Amino acid sequence: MQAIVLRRLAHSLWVVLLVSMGAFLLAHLAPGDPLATAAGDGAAVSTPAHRNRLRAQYGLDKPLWIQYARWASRASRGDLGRSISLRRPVIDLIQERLPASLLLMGSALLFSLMLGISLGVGMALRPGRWIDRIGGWVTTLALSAPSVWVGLMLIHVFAVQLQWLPSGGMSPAHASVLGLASSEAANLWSQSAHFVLPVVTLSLAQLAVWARYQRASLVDALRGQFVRTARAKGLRERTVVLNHGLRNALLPTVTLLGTGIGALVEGSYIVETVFSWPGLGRLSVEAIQSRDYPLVLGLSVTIAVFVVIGNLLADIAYGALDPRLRVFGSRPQAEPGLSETGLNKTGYHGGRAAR
Amino acid sequence: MNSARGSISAIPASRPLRLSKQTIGRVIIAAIGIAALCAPWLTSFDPNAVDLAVDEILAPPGAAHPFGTDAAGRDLWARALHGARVSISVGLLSMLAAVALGTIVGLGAGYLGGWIDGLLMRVVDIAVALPLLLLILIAQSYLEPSLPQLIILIAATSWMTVARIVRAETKEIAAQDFIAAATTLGASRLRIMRNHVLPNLKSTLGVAASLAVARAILAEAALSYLGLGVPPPDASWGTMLQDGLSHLQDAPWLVFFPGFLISLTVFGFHSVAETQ
Repeated sequence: MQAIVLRRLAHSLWVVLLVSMGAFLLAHLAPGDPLATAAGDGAAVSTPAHRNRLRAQYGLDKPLWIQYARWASRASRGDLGRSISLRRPVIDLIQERLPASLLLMGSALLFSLMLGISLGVGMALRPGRWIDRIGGWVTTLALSAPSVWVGLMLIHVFAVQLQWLPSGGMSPAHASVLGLASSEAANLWSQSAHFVLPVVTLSLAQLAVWARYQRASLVDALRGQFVRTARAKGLRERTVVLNHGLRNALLPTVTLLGTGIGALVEGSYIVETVFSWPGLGRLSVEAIQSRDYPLVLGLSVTIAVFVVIGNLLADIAYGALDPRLRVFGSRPQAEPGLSETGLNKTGYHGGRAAR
Repeated sequence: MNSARGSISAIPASRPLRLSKQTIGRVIIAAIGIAALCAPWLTSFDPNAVDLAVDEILAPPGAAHPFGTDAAGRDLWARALHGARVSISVGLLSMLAAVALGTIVGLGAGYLGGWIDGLLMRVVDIAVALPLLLLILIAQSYLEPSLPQLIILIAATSWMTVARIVRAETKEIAAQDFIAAATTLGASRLRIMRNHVLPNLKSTLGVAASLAVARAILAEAALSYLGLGVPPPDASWGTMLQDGLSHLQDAPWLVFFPGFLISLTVFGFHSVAETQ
């Protein structure tokens, strides 16, 4: 078990390193003179001597790999440079916006998991019957609607027409919980009201993914010999399904947590922008639109690090939950009927859908 | 039994007409495809013709304009039909690119194995983790927003999925006896991959391709929302949705119809991909 964790950790560090290199290289491929920004807006860097002095001062005369090493060493100490458009340290901006994003994504992850797994279990218990069929249609629909559209339609119906819920933003109370503003008591409803539409929009597609996987893996588990044995022993159906079936069937879902986190991060660009949510997703979109390279670079690396951490945690959780992994030290070759291809064929693994 | 074959009596009399999801998906795709191809015959309006007469601006859906008109008095039915051509082309072309690249990488990694597999899969890992943001930013600063740029961007962010699926499937196929037989007969690795593994990937690739089209059409909508869509005045469903944003309050149909068409088309491709 320990060896596996260490191996996964090493792999994660490796991915972070390569991604940061890739991101740095890409940012440097981008046209535009870094000196123009380094020298400050509007400051004309006129004479060649002055240019050379500045180049030396900022280390731009060094080879690219040295520049990367310097950037990486600063970045590892939390210095990601300054944003051009907002004129503040990138790390401060990220620290400010991160809690809002984590709150939104955490809620969406929980919500989609709870509802998705319940739906999947419901579908698996009656394969081919009405709940299964309706579930099949609903999940396909949920995966097919662009989240921009879902968000806008929800705003139109619930915020504009019915005026039940706010169309976006964060309530002052939330902001205060996150240390964004002075604390002030507010009632629970107005707090959670701001949450509802963004969380629903962000969860929708992911919910469908969980439901489908949960259905597939539970249907599979319930066909297992151990379930037949449990039934033969005369256990109650409830016990058979929950303790014998679901317990085994939850494992494949856990392995998908990693891709699920990636999909939520990608979804957050759109959802945070549609609902004016003050998180990293919206900041990223703003950074792209103002072509703020240091900010984009800092955000990209930060987001990549969080996605990698999410994947790592999902892997470790899987290891902790699967006794085969603890005992034999390797992942089982194939889940019965749920091999990598089996799952992928039915289609919906988080992937990098730009919803 | 044999004599009954082909005769009418072989068909159960009370067989209920049950439409499978796949059939419905095919029908949706065919209908939208035909509508896109026949766009000029299905509307008399020019999709880009501006009409600033007072009652032609933001007209709600009605007899003259089934989908209403936008802020420039353009007929949305015409724009939706012509936009279908753009959106579906984006979907199909980026799917082709993603499937081609994904198949080559997945097949190579899965069949050749060893260090090639390790290397290619690390490349896939990085490509998956590599921020979409930077890619967009770079593309944006080098090129003017255009159709080819959009297609390349979408393909560049979706081939990894195909590569992973193809690799896993290839490994399964490669473990089978007929591959061992071909190897024993002295077939080259390239020949085995091309003539023995690839044909067996057909159904997997069909599913992957169908999902890739669905994903690409959704990505077009998302990228248009972020301002990276097809340049104006040409319509695509994504840009129509984006155009409608500022009129969500007074003219919600501007957003509703393009989003609905995207959902319907993507639903069609998802349904076709479902193997049951």
